[in-house]
Amino acid sequence: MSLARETFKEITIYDWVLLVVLVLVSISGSFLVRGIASTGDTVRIEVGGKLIYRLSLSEERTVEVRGPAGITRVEVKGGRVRVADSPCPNKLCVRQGWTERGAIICLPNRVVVTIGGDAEGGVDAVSG
Amino acid sequence: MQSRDRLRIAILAAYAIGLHGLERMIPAPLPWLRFGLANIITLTALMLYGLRVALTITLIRVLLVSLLTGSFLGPGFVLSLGGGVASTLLMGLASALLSSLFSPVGISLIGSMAHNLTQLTLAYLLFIRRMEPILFVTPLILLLGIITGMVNGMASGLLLKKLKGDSPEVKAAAGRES
Amino acid sequence: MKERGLKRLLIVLLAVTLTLSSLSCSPKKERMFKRSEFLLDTIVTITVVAGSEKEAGDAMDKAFEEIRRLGGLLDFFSPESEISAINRNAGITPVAVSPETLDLLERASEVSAGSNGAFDITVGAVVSLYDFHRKVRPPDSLIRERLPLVNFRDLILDRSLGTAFLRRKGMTVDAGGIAKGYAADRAVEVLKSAGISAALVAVAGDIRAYGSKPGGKPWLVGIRDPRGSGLDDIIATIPLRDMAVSTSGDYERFFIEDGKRIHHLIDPKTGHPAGGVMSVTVVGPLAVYTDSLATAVFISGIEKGLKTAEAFGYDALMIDASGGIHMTDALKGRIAMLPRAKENGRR
Repeated sequence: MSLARETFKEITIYDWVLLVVLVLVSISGSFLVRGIASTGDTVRIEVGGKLIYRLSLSEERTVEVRGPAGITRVEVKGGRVRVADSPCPNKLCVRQGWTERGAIICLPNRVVVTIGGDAEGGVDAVSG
Repeated sequence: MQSRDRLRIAILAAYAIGLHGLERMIPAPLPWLRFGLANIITLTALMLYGLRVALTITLIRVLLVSLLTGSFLGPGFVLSLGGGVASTLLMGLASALLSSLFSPVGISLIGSMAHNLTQLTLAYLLFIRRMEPILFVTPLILLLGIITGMVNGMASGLLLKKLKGDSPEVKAAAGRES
Repeated sequence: MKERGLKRLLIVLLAVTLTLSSLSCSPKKERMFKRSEFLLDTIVTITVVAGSEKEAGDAMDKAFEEIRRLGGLLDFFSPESEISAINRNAGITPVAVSPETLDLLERASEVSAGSNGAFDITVGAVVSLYDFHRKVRPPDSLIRERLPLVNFRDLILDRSLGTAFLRRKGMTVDAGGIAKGYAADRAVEVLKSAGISAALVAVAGDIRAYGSKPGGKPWLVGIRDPRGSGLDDIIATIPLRDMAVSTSGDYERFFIEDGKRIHHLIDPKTGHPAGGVMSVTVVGPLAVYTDSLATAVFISGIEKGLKTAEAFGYDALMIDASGGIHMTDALKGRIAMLPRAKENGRR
């Protein structure tokens, strides 16, 4: 496969530099993003922009939402949330695993799971 | 000129669509890991026949695929179109200005990054108007894009070498472009 | 030449990456955990902020255990409780009680004295004449007969001996109006010594919270709309920073007779349900006081009620019978009334 080796040799130094820069930026970017992602105690599940569920991060629960591509299952447990299953081809959303900050999106099914503060009057307890 | 270009465009576009379909049929253990093999055609066409041809191929591919899969004018279509056009344009720019610095691999990386960044931006502007989930998922997508960019770039390079070696016409065309 | 320049570039980039990633590395991530149990005749919910499920679980185990233990000591309906022992020996002999029970009774007396008898832990002699399930209201003559048995001053507490004594036969103590707050305070102490940095303990509507939620936000508590349809109908919210809050209302136990609401907040002086007020919310450092003061302030009425709260260094929000809102000055900036509150009318 000398053609392959030739092609490999054709890769310039600048190619390598570009590659390394991009890799480093991506990796450090992932750390940065993890740092600034918002945390809170409310999980909002929106489909196509419409709020379907507002759950508490501290209560164990599993819900299913229906989107244009099918049913996405979201699990809340132990103060964290994950997309357990989704009909999207990427399965990027499922791959993200458990998280307690930021958000998870499943674009094909238009599902957005965000973690936020006590949005819109969501209280931690009621006296009365 | 024109008829020859048209022929090339038609054949290459067919290849691109074919590659896309083939890629879709592969039962991937990691369903989200797609190489965007059609981009190999785009890049190769760019290097051999220039930006106009490459752009036309991209447009045809995106249009026909969306019509065939029924996602015409849907979100997938918009994202594919945006990503494809941006990526082709930027690769054209890069190969015109920076071809002395970069091999097809580098150009492909640029195209891949442009493709992904454009798609993320479009997704934000048009579909999910929340900065957070987009930012959150960007590093992962870029990382994947790097891998596919490299793979496609190497494949393009290989293809170019093979083609340049074969026909004198191709050699002449290649000579004209570079 | 080019190689060295490239190496240098790569090293610089590596350094930058490492710096960036170390800057954004967060310390052990803290999350919220919530658990509920049925204790003290009601639902007790504890929410803690901890780094792991184990840490949270262990601390909550201890806190719930403490509440269970207190329930055992203070349960009016359980013959083995210390409260029952005191009641059985009313007019007979002092009863030895544990320090917690004595502590609770002392604070009850303190609130009684400070509210001029509006809160009275011995009011059970008259309240027991009412039956809110079967909608029974006692005749005035019977109430008059029993009133002499309602007098917090007849509860004699001896600190040195550790005893409590009801002077007259037929008198009873019922810790119901103060035990929940007391339990919330004790649970908080247990959580603190278990190393929990922030938590919220809700014994039904008696709530005590300390620390902040992950992200630095304060605990947010809603105040129930006295004429709302359920627990989710809230009329106001208040952020809690190392504070307790309790609410007493005429909607907790009641029945309607001839168009009049007969509720469980009985005025110890008259033997009848206190009027003029729909609900009272008291805010302050300790739940044992917010719990008992909520009752005291309710029974004292609007003017005296607010003054009583302030005398104890606590704050109160009162909703009168026509839905009018009154509150102590310090609350005015802290409570956020929700829009619906403005239209609240008699329902």
